[in-house]
Amino acid sequence: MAEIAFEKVSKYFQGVPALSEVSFRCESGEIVVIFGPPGAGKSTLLRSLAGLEDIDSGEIHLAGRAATGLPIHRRKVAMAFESYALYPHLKVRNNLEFPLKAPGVRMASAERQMRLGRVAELLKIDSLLDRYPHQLSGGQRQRVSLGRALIRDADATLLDEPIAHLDARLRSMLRGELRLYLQDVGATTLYATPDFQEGFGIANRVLVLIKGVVHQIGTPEEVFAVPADSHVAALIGDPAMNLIPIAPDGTLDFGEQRLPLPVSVPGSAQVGLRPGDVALVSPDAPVKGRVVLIERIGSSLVVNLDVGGRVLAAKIAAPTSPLTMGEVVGLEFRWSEAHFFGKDAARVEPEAESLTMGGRT
Amino acid sequence: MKASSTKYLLVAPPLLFFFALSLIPLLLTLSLSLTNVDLSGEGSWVGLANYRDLWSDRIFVRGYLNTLEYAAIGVPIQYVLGLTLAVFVSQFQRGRRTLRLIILIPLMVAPLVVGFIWKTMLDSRLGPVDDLLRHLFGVAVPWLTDEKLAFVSILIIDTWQWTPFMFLILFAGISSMPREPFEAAYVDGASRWRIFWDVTFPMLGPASIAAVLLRGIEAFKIFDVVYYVTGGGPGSVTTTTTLTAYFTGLRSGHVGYGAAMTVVLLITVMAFGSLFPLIIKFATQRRGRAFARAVGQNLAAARLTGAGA
Amino acid sequence: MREERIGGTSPLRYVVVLAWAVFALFPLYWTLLTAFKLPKDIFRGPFYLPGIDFVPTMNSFRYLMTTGSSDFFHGLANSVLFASASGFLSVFIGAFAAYGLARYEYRLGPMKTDDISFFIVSQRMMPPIVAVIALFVMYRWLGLLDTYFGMILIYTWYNLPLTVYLLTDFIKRIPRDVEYAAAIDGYDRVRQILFVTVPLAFPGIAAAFFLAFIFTWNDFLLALMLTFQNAKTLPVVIAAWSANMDPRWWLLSAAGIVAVLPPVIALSLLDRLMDRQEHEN
Repeated sequence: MAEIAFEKVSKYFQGVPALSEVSFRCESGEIVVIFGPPGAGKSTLLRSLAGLEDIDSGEIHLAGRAATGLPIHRRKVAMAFESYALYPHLKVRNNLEFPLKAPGVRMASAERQMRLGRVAELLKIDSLLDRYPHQLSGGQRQRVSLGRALIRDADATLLDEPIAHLDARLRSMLRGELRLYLQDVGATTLYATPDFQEGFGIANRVLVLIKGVVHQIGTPEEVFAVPADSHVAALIGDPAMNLIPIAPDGTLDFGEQRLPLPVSVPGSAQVGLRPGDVALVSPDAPVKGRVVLIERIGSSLVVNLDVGGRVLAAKIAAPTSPLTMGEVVGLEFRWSEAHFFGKDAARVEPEAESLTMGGRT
Repeated sequence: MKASSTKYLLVAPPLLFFFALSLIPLLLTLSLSLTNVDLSGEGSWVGLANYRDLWSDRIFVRGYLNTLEYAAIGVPIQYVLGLTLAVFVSQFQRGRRTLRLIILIPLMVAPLVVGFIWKTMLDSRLGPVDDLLRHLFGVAVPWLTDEKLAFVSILIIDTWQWTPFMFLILFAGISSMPREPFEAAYVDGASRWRIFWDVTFPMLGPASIAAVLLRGIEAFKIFDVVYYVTGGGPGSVTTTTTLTAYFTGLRSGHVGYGAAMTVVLLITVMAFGSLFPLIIKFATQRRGRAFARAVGQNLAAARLTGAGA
Repeated sequence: MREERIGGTSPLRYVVVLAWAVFALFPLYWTLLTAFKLPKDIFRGPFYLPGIDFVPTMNSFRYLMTTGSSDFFHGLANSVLFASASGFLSVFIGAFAAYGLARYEYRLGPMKTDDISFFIVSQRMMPPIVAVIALFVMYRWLGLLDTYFGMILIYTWYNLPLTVYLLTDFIKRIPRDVEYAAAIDGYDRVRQILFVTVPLAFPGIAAAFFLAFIFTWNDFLLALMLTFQNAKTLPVVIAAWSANMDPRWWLLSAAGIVAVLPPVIALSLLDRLMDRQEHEN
């Protein structure tokens, strides 16, 4: 239940930067999702806060105190490890209670039991309490590991892909319940995940970390609506945003097909269009594509199309006339929702007038 | 995490022991060997004279040769027997653990007690071995009193005690082997003999090397059994270097001279011990790094049983 | 391990294994038998079956436990003391070193962690006799000959290479993450070790103790060289008894059986321990 602050934190592994001048602040009780592709440095960030990794430069503050130099066991940080790190010689219930019996923690037995029950119920592990770790499945172990992190009053709760190895049903259920629990308890949480839906669903704020560099920090809505650069844009959405390079002459390059941009965006090198902003129309449209994949997700259809060698994803409501593989259809783009990025991947805004003129092509 | 000083404190005691009880005595022995000091502490520097005199000392030479022979003859025999046992025991589906325990028991008996047990066994008058031979063939064999037979007796006893050691290592090696090559060979219709020679034995390479290396080093130390069973005799026929060093150094009191004997033994053991890494290197070049690593693993597993005095 | 037919099965296996089992166990059986014989039973020639060839008697054991056996008891008590004490000490000291070697990086001049390990473990290569002659001189000079302290000291030294080696291996097998988890849960280094590392390393600790116990118990050379009367161990007593021309085999056999029991018991305990360890992993 405390604030977290990272100031220009850098960490190198044999010369390769794992974290590059990472800076951010986290309010007490906030759930900040560290979102990024594998290898982004998410784990390193969490571990630096926990004290498991030493940082090479910068400062970390926890609950107002400087964390550098503070030994791990005095940091009041709770962590759910990627490798679970359960105590093999203790039963599940003792694993969960272990942090509550640490020196310096004064807690009545009754309170311990109450918390134990609560966490066990949340994670649906009440029936496993008297088993040993080696008697559990991978998913069960992960839940126990998560439980051990949740049971305490820590200044910061660090969750490193805590539900990654659970089946889909459990995962979607836990997502909501975890968020409720964390907010209930008021735990300041850093939650690392590469999963867009999971991360954006649970977060108060999202920190996008790619290759050790912070690309954007904001609420899920902010980051989703206005991705700061093309790298971020490539990660968000399900399915992710289509990124199409813009040729020097200002047209979209689709092999033999060329589509001139209906908007004037000086300095742009890429345009991002969400699958939902790609509509399928009759084949006599200026841009045509061949259906290569059809996937049903809920009540929507995700269609992958080969457009002159480039694959684009479109997300549409189920069509009246069913689509077939190999069928050639026309594409229309909702330019008002397009995002533009320059050569340096940073966001560029189109000239205001051209936007209103754009509409559809 | 921990302050540097504390972590050195952790390792300090064993290193201190090593220093005080291995290194210093070693240096002391080395320097003693260059003197003719006796038990009363009197003596003077003689340089390498002891080492020269050793080789014209019939008893020492006999003992040294014996030591080499016990190792050179005993170890291969124990290896073959241990291997045979390991292969056969591994063919049992049930009761392996009990079998292994039974086989291992002789290894656990104190070498001195082993000496006692076999001395009674081989006694011509009252021992069961000669009793049996008398019943079967009408002759009793003077196991411990005949010069040539005494040597053989020691070998038999040594084999009785140390074959289990070879068995242990080789059996562990067999037990950890993957099944696929065997299943494949079986399916291909290979005979049992073929399977052994072409699959089992080669795969036991690392374990074999570890076993022979460790057993070899121990073999040079032979003392208790010879001390009790024959006392080095009859005459000095069965004596060993450790024995001669003990008798000469501490019983007769020629400390410096005895020290020289032990140094010769030490050099021998070290030469043997360094020979092996060379063999491994040679074999590794032909078989790759995995081989060397496997040998290391087997040495590790073998050290678990270690070896007695 | 239910591996069947590694390399096929041969009917020979029963013959070979049985033959060896007989070869291995008969001498022990014989000694056990002899321990229950009266002197006359021995001198009349070998008898093989208790109750049939001769009447078993507790004579020898009774003798050992009571009269003329202050020697025996003395040796037995010393052996128990030395084996237990050196077993405990070598494991205790070795465990600290093992933890260091398993978890930390060392640098002592040109030597690094693995070199230090090797140093400690390579003492095994040296034949004891090489050190013992000098140790005799040293001990005499220090007044440690034939003392309890001297023997416990030397036996601890004797077993350290083994315990350090074994325990380093065991501790290395315990993933560091588990210790980190305890750190994060608020346990300082010492408590991490006490509550997590030690319980997990327990099988290794027990195994090291058993082995150290067995090796000390079975030792003869060191005891022979460094003790006379006060600190002599069981093997020394047994060896001394047979100095006469006409050894009292019934007594010696009984003593021998007593000498054989602890290591064999320790071995079966060790075996059971190792098996359970394998099973759980």
